[in-house]
Amino acid sequence: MVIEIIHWITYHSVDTCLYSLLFILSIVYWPKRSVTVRYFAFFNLFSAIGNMAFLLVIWINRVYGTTIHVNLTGIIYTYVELILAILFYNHLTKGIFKTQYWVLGGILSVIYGVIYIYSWVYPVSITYDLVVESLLFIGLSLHYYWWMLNNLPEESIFKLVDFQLVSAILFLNAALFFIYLWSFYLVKVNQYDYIIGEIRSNIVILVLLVFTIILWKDLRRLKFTS
Amino acid sequence: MEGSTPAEVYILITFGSLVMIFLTGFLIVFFIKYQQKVSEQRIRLKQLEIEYQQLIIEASLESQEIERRRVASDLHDSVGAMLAAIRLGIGTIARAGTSNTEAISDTKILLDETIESVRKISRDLMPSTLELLGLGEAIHEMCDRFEATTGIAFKLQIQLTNGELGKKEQLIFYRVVQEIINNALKHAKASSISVSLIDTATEIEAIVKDNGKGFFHNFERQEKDSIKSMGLGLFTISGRINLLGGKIRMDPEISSGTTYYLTIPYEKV
Repeated sequence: MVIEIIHWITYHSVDTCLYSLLFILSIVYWPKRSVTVRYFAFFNLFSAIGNMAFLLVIWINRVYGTTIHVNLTGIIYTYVELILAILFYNHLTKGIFKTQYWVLGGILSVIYGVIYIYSWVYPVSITYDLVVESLLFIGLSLHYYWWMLNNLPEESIFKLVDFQLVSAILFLNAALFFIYLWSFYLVKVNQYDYIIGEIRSNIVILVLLVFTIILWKDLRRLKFTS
Repeated sequence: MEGSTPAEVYILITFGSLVMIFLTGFLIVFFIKYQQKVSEQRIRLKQLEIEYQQLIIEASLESQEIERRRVASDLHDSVGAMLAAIRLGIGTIARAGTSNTEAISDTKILLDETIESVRKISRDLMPSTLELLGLGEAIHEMCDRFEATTGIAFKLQIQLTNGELGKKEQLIFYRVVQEIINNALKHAKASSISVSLIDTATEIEAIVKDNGKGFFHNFERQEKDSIKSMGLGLFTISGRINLLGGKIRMDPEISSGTTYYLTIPYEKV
């Protein structure tokens, strides 16, 4: 248990640093940055704040002996992330999410909230809400690809920062989806959930590094073209 | 899975995650390749369009040049020659005085012929009937003239009641029909030509049919070779029809002569 707590603190600290770095990389040359990168900056800002809040809650519990549930920060962060994700993909697909999509988003949010509260009341290490979250991101990313198939740009899509970011998000969530699906079985049979946490952390950190490279390259491109 | 060591579970989960990442990678690579292919096709299509436009410009310039040569030849051979004859006639009258009534009469006939020649050249350049009475009448008059000069029988069916093309479009369409009839007379050696011009609320359909040596060209194929092989006359026809936003096709059955089907929309799409 102690090892697990140390792992989570280390992981969230590294995450916080990387999200902060990504936020800084996204806001440099702000007026010249694409709207996609600007949305991504907010993503990183809230991710960094969410991780810091998580660490803060652990610290408060330890120092003041309180019993604030660590998931409290998670539920707020998840909803902000959901809204930002819909705004982000809505921008990428040039406002394809019409009113009906927002209604769908609202219904999904309610379902998501119920699952999250259920996971909170009956806690397990890896929960249903994460499966829903990764599925949502996979769905939004595939929707973006589908939209791109009908609106193919002239230039190579591989060079588009939008495409690179969405591809990295898809890579991350495809891997996470598999991990979360397996977690039910592994937790039930072996109680090896800390392994899942470790692999998940490693993959997230790896993808955050990929995001860093994408933003760095975008920044260099801006620097050379300005 | 039950009884597995942590290391085994670790490897299994890592392997599974990597498989998912590879699958996603395949999807992304497929997507990138697909976009590259579409881009290449777009570039090729654009190149073809540019080449087609260049050919249209070349054909238009060449057609202008041919028209100028024809007008120059008409002026030189008919009007020029007649004016020279009139000059001689006037010289004769001047020498003989007004008593030479035969010379006066010949010169008068020559003057009338010259005036008629000038009218013909002018009508060929810009048909006044088209301006005054519209497309149907202009084509009717053109067929009458062809019939009178060549002796070939023309069958006409003109029913234009639903709409009207713009003046510029009418002239282009008139030229297309004129070119088709010219081709039938020059190359197909036809002895009978039928022209049908019927319109609906949205478009005009013209059918020009002759009983001469039949031939077929597929206008729907737009490849470079096809454009080059069709010759200036057909290429100009095709270019003009495209300009009007219309369609042209030929009857592939060539045993009974050549049939052109032209469709021109009233509202250019």
